[in-house]
Amino acid sequence: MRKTFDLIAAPAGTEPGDYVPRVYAARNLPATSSATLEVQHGDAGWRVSLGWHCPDPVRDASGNTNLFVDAAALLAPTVADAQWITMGAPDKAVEGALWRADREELLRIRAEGLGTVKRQQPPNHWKAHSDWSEARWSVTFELASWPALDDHNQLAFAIWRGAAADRGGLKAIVPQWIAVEP
Amino acid sequence: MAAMDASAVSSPTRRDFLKLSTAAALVSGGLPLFHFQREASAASLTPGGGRRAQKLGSWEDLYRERWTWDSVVKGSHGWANCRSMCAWDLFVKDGVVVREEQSASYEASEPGVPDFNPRGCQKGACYTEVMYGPSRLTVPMKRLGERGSGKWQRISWDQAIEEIAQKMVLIAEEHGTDTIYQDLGPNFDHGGTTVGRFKFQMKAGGIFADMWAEIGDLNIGASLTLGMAHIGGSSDEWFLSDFPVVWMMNPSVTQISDAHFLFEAQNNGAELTVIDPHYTATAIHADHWLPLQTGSDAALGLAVARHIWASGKLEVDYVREQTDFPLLVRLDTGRFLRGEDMLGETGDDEKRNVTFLWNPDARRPEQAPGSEGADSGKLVVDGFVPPIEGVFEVTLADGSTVSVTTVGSILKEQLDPWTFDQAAAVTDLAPELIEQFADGFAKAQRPMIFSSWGANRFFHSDLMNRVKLLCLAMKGAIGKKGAGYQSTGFMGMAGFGSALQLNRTGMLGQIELMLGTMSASKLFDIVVDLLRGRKSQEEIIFNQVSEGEDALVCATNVSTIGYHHQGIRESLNHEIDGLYPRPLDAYVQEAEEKGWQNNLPRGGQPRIYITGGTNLLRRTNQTQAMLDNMWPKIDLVIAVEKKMTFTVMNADYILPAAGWYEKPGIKYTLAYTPYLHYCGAAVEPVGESKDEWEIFWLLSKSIEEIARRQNTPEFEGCGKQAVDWKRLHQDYSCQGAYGAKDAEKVTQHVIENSPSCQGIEFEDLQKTGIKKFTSAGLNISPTFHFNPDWKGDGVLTTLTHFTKYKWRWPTMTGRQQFYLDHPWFLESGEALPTHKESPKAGGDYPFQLVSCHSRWSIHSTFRDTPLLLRLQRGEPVLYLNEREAQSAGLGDGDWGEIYNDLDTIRMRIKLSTMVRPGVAYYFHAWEPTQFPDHKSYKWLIPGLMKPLHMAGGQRHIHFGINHLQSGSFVQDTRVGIRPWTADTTI
Amino acid sequence: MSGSEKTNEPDTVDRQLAMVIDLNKCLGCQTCTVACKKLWNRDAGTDYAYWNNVETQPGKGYPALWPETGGRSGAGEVKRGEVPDLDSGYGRAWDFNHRAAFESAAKPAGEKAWLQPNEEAHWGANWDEDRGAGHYPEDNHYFYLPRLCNHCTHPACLNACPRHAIYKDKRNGIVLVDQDSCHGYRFCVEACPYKKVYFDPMRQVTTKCLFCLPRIEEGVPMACARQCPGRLRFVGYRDDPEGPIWKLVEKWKVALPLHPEYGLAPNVFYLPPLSPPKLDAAGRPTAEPRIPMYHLESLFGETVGAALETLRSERRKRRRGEPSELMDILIAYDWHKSFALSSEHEVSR
Repeated sequence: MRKTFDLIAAPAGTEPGDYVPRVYAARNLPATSSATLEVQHGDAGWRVSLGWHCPDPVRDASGNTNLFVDAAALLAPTVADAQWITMGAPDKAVEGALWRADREELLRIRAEGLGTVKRQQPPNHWKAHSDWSEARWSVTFELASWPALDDHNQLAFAIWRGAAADRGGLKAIVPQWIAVEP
Repeated sequence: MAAMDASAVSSPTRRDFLKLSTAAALVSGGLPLFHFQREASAASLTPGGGRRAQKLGSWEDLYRERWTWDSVVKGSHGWANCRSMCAWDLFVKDGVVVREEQSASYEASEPGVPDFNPRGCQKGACYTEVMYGPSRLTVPMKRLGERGSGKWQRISWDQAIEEIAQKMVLIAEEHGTDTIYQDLGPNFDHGGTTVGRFKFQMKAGGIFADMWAEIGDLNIGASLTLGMAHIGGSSDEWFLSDFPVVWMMNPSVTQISDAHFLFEAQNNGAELTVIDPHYTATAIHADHWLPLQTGSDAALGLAVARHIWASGKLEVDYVREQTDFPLLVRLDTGRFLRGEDMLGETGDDEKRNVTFLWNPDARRPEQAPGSEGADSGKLVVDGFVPPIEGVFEVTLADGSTVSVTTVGSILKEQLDPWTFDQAAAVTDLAPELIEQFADGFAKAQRPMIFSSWGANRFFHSDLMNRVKLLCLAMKGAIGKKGAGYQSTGFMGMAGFGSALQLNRTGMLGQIELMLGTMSASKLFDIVVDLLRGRKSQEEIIFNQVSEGEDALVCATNVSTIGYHHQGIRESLNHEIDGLYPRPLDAYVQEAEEKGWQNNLPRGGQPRIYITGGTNLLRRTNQTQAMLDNMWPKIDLVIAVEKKMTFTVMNADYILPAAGWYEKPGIKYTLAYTPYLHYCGAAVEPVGESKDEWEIFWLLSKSIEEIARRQNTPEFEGCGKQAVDWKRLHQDYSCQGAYGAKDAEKVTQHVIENSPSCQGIEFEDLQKTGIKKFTSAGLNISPTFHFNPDWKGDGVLTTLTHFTKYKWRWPTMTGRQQFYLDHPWFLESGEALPTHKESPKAGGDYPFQLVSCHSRWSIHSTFRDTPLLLRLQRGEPVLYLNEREAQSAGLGDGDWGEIYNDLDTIRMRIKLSTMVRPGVAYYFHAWEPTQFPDHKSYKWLIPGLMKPLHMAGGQRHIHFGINHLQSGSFVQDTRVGIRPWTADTTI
Repeated sequence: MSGSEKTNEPDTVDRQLAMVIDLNKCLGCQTCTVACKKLWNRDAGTDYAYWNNVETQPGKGYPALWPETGGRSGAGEVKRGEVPDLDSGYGRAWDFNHRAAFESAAKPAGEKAWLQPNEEAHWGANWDEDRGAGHYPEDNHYFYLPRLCNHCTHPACLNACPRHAIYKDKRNGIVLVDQDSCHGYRFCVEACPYKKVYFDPMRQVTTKCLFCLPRIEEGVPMACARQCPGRLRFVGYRDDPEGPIWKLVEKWKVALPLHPEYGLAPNVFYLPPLSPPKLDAAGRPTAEPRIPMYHLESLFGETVGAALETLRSERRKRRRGEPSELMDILIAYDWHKSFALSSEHEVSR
């Protein structure tokens, strides 16, 4: 499948702590407004491509204290219909792959609710390719095996635009799980 | 949930992170010079004391691991030329000193006084950054191409020593050994480092050029008044004053370890006054700040002195006994009434300079006890009370009658014009502010004046300090606990002199030593003097050292060498043209003709220059003249150095010296903290560096071998003693008793032969790093405590030898002498302390260029250390008053062009409300390398010489190391400043 | 010894470690800054960061303009803070060109490299050193303000972290950033009005002052306090009535928190600075101190006047020869007693 999705700003008002909800509650427009998703499944497993408009990429944030890198994540529920907006819930984890523009390798991520994301070493067979040209990021995730997606065929994604200081819960997301076909 | 793998988060990994932290501590901003391999050998010399962090399996382990070490060694910063001593724990990990922290193991001197802990400053807390820093030298090198070209060839130690030795022999044969030039400091410890450097110089017949006055640290005012330049006890005595006056000192910046005593004194009820044109880091804490006109300090003091007298607060009994106030002066000549006047030519020649008091009962002059040639060495007057004021008629030996008066009377008359209004007109202070201060001073129980080494950098600093001493004397404060004058004091380390001079160990060596400085008849005289009570033991030692110095040491001073060879003679004469009755050169000539001053080397300019820990080309005023005239004529420049400096850049050979944590030493023994500070070697010398004892051991050996091979004849030295290089190494090594690696043994000798250290076990000292001195030591130069009672307990107060025990002061009159009847002083109106305007040096320009020691460096050491530069602005800055700079079109951070008659240089401007308008202020010791075109502010400073400082011929007015000599004054310099925007060369 | 026990509920700490800094003894020497830096922050990503800094007040401070870019208004209202810029906010750890300078000595005028930062420097941790405000000589003034994490009772950083990576150590109330949990979002950096949480761009995590936790665990005072030659820091627990903290903060009320109006209840306290009198237009001393009261009140709150008066009157007492417990503490006769930490863990070093 290949489809373009309109994105929403992840709601800051429900973020943990008393700072982010207060000062970012009004931030209700996503920094990235849409993205194109292409999902293929074959012998080599899942091949998921994301493309979005990004006029001001941030590939490296190590040169300053106030830089945030561009990033994107794919997520799938480990339990069918685990809540996506809340990054899952206790015993209803979501998991997936995080791409950061400053790294070659992906990170595996897993969460059971807001503020609980853990980053882990990914399986060896997880790979990513990224390219930025003509003001667009194209990121391809090659995931030879992803049981969560195999099991539930539900996928969601998030995009962080570094130039807009997206990070953590400040991100552009698809509003709900996308049904993908094996 | 799988455990976090930290390395996944980002690059570099956590493991790299730990490695990086060690590397950062080592490299800090650049590759170390030169060819330096970091796998320096480990070898912790003091085993044990390691610390391992417990692994608790949590993220904090990352940090727990950082606070670990393999061993800890007690150390300090041997010849860091700072006025503090402080004990450090050096933490060694994997063979590298990773950090240092104060030991903080001092005790309070006495109940009711705060302790010394922890001592140490931010520089000591990161000497490791210098040790492993980007300027560090670690291998021997030889210049390639032109001197100063920056091109070096790495050579072996053998080659370096052999080549240098051969060249030295050739040069000595042609020009004499007194063309070997080293200055006395400021790289000075009391251990193997300096023993090696000095002993070589002494045995090789080279000259010792004193730099005390040249660098502006010599308190000539104190020498002229008290007969000694360095006065000061332990810093905890500051706490006891009820009226501390910081008057040309900035302890918050220059006495970081001691300043707390001042502020704690305020908490104890003291009223702190800071007299400074600038709102200094000390002034911000003061109860009173007197922002006076630069260089007007004497005028302020004269008003204080007048007020003390006028308000009835003069301590009459004290000045009668301790000062020259009651001494008689002839009104016709202005000279003291002397023995030669009263006793005639038939009189005893020894009594030529005896001075006189008026006996009001007998109505006749009486010989003043304690004065030069008097029968008694004590100041006690029996049978009458000499007046301090009055005019009397005296009949001289030739029958004539003259009017005489007292010093007190003349002084009172000279003070009379110095009303508050008059002082206000000169100082630019409100009369009310002056009165408030004068009244506080007059009413104080224990006034104390802090007048540090930095108080000696004006052309007329001697006058300023004489006035300050006058104010104190009038209050009876000098030699009184919790009061008096604090410039600086040293603890005696007589063992150092012994280590320098010995040609062999044991009793035989000691006997040789004594015979070398003293004849048998001299010894007899001394015994008689002691028995008859004519002289105190202290006085005899004091004189003996001074005479020994004259007999043995080829001493001159850096300013005099500069005057003769730097190409600045014309400039210096021009600068003070008209200020004195005769031109500067006439004074120089007279002084040399009369033997008051020497002119070494005898045969012309220095030919061999050995630099080490000192940085002549960084600090010389009119550096451009030095580089153009004198430097090219030096045939051989040898740098025995641990780091690259501007002087090293202009050397021919680099012999890398071990740094402070790499060799044993003794931090030079200032009196502020009366503890002996041992510097332990925490690691082996970095790279191929060697300690100085070994370097000069090898050099003397090589020279001796060549001299023997060639049967080199004896040299004349500087004309005092024959010098035989065929025995150079034998003498240096005490006939082989000290080996190349014996710096520690030499250090031990110094300690064990110093009376101030009696009872201190060397091994204990190595373990604890510090030991309290057991006495102030002999009063050998420059250690002037004169407190015979102090045995290691209580605050160390000074000068009680005179005030309590009534022995005479080492001046001509035997008293605190405010009146100098030397003809030069009389003819120039400086017989009494007075105020004179600061001459406009370098031309008549609107800004006075004023310097202060920096909190950020010990002179040029630490000046180029990245970690510290990042806490400044990274480069030299010139401070200007905020408002004034803005009206001159100069903004903060702008480049300024600083100019006067001598040259033009460029510096960044920094604005500050601290600075007095009309002053361009800088913290000193930036390397020329840190300025555009490698031209520092030194290119603008003429370095004035004051003719009177070459005076001689009186008991305490004579040339002496650390006593009296011509200087090179910086604070009178005037400059213009304009913005510099164009990217042009000068 | 056990490891730290975390609590995200600040009121549940067993004890609260605290520090008092006597500004009347501060020399501006930055030994604290160097001591801290040498021990903790020499990595490529933290070389710019000073957990402890000393800034000249008035001045922009470090990081520059921190009160304006912090996450609180003067009334304690939460507002969006900024993550300071490495160049204009903190200042980079400049590298230098030693070798080029050493090697260019013989080059002709105009071509010599001189020793300087490899980049044009515009700001640093001590850029405003000794600059001050006012007009010479009437009322020019400045003082030194050492700053470090306040280990607040109600830390803004803790509340700002959506990941609960920031917590208080239950044993001593020290505020810590769990380096394993932190994802480098920097909401804490934004939210801390004192700007005392630092981002490490190499490791992409935030770090902050640990109150020298590993030393405290062994009963050894923080490096900044123990290495301070001005002897201006006192360390101990808030609840120890025999210790210097309780006496200076609660009993004598001379030690005040920085910006109490932020409402975070800092556990670092300051003795406010006295200053020499202002001069009038004719240069005569007045009864007014040089540092304007409005500036001190803006930093230390409304009670600063009373604290200064207590200091003055106790000094006057001492001048009259009367005893003063307060002055005895501040004199720190026995310096080791400035640190009232549990002695059972004291290690001999």
